[in-house]
Amino acid sequence: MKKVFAVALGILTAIGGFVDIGDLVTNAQVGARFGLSLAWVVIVGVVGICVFAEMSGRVAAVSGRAVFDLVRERLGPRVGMVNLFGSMAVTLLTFVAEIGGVALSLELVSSVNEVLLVPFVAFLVWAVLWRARFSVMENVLGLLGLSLVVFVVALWKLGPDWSQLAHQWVTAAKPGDETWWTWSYYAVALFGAAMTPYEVFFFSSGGVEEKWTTEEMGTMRTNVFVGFPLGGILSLAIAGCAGVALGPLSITVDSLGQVGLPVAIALGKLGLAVAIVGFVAATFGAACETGLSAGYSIAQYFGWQWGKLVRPDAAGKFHLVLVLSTVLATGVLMTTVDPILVTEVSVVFSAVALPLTYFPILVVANDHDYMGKHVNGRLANSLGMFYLVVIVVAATAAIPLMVVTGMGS
Amino acid sequence: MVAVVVAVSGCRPSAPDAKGWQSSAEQAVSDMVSEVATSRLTVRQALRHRFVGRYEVVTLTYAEEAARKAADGVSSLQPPPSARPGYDELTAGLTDAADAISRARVAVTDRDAQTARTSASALTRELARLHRLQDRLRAAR
Repeated sequence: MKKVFAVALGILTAIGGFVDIGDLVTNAQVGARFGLSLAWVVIVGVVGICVFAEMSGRVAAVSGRAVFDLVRERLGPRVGMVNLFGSMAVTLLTFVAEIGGVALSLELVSSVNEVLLVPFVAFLVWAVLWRARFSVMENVLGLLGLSLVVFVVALWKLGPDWSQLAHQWVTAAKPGDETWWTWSYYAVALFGAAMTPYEVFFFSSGGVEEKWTTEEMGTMRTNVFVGFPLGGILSLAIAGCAGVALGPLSITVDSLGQVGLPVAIALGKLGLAVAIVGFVAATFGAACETGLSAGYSIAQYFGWQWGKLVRPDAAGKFHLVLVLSTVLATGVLMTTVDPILVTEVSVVFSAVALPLTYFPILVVANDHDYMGKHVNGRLANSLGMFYLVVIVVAATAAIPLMVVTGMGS
Repeated sequence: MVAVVVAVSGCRPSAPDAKGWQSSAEQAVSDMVSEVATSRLTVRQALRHRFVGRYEVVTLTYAEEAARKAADGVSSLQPPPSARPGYDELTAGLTDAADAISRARVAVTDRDAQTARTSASALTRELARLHRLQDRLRAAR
């Protein structure tokens, strides 16, 4: 019974924790402009994150060590440093976007300017990283993030023409007033949002924090292969709501308030309140995960003590990175930069950094010395190689598409 | 050579060629359509009491800021000679639409249902005007 509860809890937190500010904004933008014609990208992205999360979770369970720890050892300090630099830049950018996302969510109910909320939010994030237990942080925020299921209910209540949605989905037809360039740009952005690098750092380091062994691999795989795809359904529901309620009115999404409008139309005050709880939980949870990922990555590369289970005085450098990252994110947001713009940039740069993150995981998961009999099988390697090709194509195309389309405008 | 190109392209006011102007004008009108439609939807839902906290006010404030940005983006450009005939109509259309959003925001913040209803009607008229502008710009391509 206890095991069933653990599996159920893991799945629910994986669903609730799947969506972050990048998913919220990008899916709503894409839904409003392209309907469900880019839904296939979400599916490709979700399968991709499942493949690599399973690999990194397996590495953590078998070796008891996290990804960056092994990357430096296996590929050497120089390659490790390139990997660290690229991944850290994107993780910090995402951290800024998530803290901005929490502030924007709170602004929606309080009308207090988000810039004034940023220091308060940043302090709360740091306090949770400093004091809260790892399992409490993960489970509470993950479960509250499940509130975003309200978008599935809202889509149902909006009463869309399901055959038309299915047609958009199956044919992947580009709307007539959009160009192939913008269509491709948003495809890359959606892919980057679904496969954000911090997700695997957090997943594998979390596995080490929770002391996974090979016995927990079944639970880990269930969380990944059930929880993540169900989380992907939330992403599709957000896109579907925007496609049904905003698209026909020629509304293009550029603020978080617009993302919640379909829920207000379909379900009124109660539904909107639940959606806002979901916004806050999803962005706050992701802020904690990205903040920790920044600390994990640097500490693992340099071989410092790290983790929330280690006493803070024993992991001083790790906690210093958390503090500095939080101060940096606060400073960036206090310049009044638009958090939605930061989010848009972060998902595109996520796509650029994907090879730096996922190639080393594939190498380590193929190493018999580390993995023994749990080394990648034929299926994992085939999928891994396929995704590596997709990732390289997306990474190569991301910046040119951003320039050509003027960030999708 | 590079310095000359950079210096010329960086002149104030920015003076795009006919193609650049056309693209900027179409983008501004398209952005304005989105903001006016967002505002009208928000006002209508506010009249039906479907928001919590200050959601509707914040959403309208963001729409208002984005609308001003779209209007200012075009009015700060130097139009090429070929664009002069429709220039006043374009800038007036954008400014009037942004003003209509501001009036809607004021009414909703004041919780003045009567004025909010009037604002929603005004936004509908502005939307129709913007669509006509959009069609004209497309026809001029």
